[in-house]
Amino acid sequence: MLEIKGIETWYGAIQALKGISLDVKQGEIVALLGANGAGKSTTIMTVTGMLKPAKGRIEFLGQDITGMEAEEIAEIGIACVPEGRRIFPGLTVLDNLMLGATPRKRVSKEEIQKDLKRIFGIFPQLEEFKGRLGWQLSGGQLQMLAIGRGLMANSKILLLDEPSLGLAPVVVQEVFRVIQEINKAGTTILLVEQNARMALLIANRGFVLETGRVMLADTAANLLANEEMKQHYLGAHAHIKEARQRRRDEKAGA
Amino acid sequence: MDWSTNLQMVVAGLAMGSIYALVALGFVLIFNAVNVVNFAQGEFAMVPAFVAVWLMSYLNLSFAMTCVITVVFMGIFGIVFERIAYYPLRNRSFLPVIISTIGVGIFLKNGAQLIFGAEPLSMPRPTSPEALNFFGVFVDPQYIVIILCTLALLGFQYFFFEKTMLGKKMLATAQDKQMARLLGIRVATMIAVTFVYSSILGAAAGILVGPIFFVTKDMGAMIGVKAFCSSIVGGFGSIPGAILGGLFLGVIEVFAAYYVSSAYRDAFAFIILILVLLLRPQGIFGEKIAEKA
Repeated sequence: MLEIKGIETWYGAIQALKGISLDVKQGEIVALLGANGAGKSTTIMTVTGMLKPAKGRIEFLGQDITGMEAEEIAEIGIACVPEGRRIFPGLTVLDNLMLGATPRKRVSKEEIQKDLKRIFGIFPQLEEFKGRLGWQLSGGQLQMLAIGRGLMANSKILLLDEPSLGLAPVVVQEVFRVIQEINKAGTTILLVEQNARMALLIANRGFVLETGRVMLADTAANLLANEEMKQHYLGAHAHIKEARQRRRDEKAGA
Repeated sequence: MDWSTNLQMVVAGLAMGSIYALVALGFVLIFNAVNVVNFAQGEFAMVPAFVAVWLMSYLNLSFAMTCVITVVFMGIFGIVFERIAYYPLRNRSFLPVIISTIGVGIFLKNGAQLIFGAEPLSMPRPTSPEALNFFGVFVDPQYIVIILCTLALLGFQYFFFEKTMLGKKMLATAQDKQMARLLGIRVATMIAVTFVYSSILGAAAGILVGPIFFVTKDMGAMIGVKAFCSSIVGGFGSIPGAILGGLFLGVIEVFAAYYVSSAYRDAFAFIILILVLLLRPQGIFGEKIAEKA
């Protein structure tokens, strides 16, 4: 349903993507893996239209969407939960959720209320805190709200950028369970993760990026068994590296 | 020093403060939407004052008709201003945009002089020039009109931002433009609507203050600077801060002019500004810069 063909994206004079090709089929969970700076988020941002590729082509449901504006891409059924959650801090939980439904045109109030109920069913905490402002929420609650807001778009595909970043292990488990649940309910998912093992455990296929290129592309089961993967992304050692990197990220982000 | 004099001054201060608050809100809304201080904001009150004088004195239109036409005119003015002063520079840093708003401000001032001449004009009063007597407190009815109209506008604005989706989309745009775009919110449209609304606030300020001041090309500069002080005193970027900052400065100004020195009336806003910047730089309602990062 989503096909990315050889995209190259630049930040000024720095080339972040050096010809990335990947595809996501209807109903799949596809994991996009790789270290910091490999180009995972850049790929997501290029698909959403926030960044424009210098070369290459992006197709969604057979339609060429390369170079389309982000607002239009949101309306044709691509929703994104970006890195860092990006919850509107001065708006309530409910407002944040309702704004998630912006791309849906000609939709009845009943239908939006039904989806809201469904999201409150998945994340009961959001209903409890629906009157709170964005900045008053904890990290886990923010992530749940971000995913919930992404779901309100009722999109055909949901792009999730690092949903586990900075969350306690129990909450990470919860988030991954929800991702599976959403997928079972019919939403196709492109999942960017540094936590490669967890991502591959729920994904159908995975793509591993390294410095702006796709290094490995295979089924999730094969990637989990792959020696190179074990060494660099899945081993105990990889986890320690990742944790260190994450702490550095958080410091840089704070 | 009797209570009725003090009460009269409170009413006069609140009326002037309302004008500052309306213009300060314009500053804050535009700043929140595009991260740029619009230095032509005072002119957003000067232009409608001239338009209203012209409609009433030369076309002999009724006050109500004048208000409607002026508000519509200023709505269009807001779009044109955005297209000329902001839109072509939207992807540049804040500096070119600030200079561009200063430039348009100068153009508007001199344009007003070119069209209407340098002589101060007076706007016909919609209210009686006779002061109303409230149990011994004499109040200019125009002050009452200013305060009531401002309250009505603030009520409308509260409803708009709290209860309508368009209002929420404007707030979302102000808080995180990139995320707003990802959600399919038409950010460029939201920004244009913000300029239109700020400009309509200016229309209200200009029409309301016109009858108690002379209408001159420089009236916008003084109101604009005081309104800018108000928004900083209240805490820049804060909507309640802009409103309360404006009212506070308005009242302080009247009292200081009476009890301290009427010759230095215009200086007190700046004294307050300096005191606030020294003692509480984030303003009354402002958040600390560190919390914002």
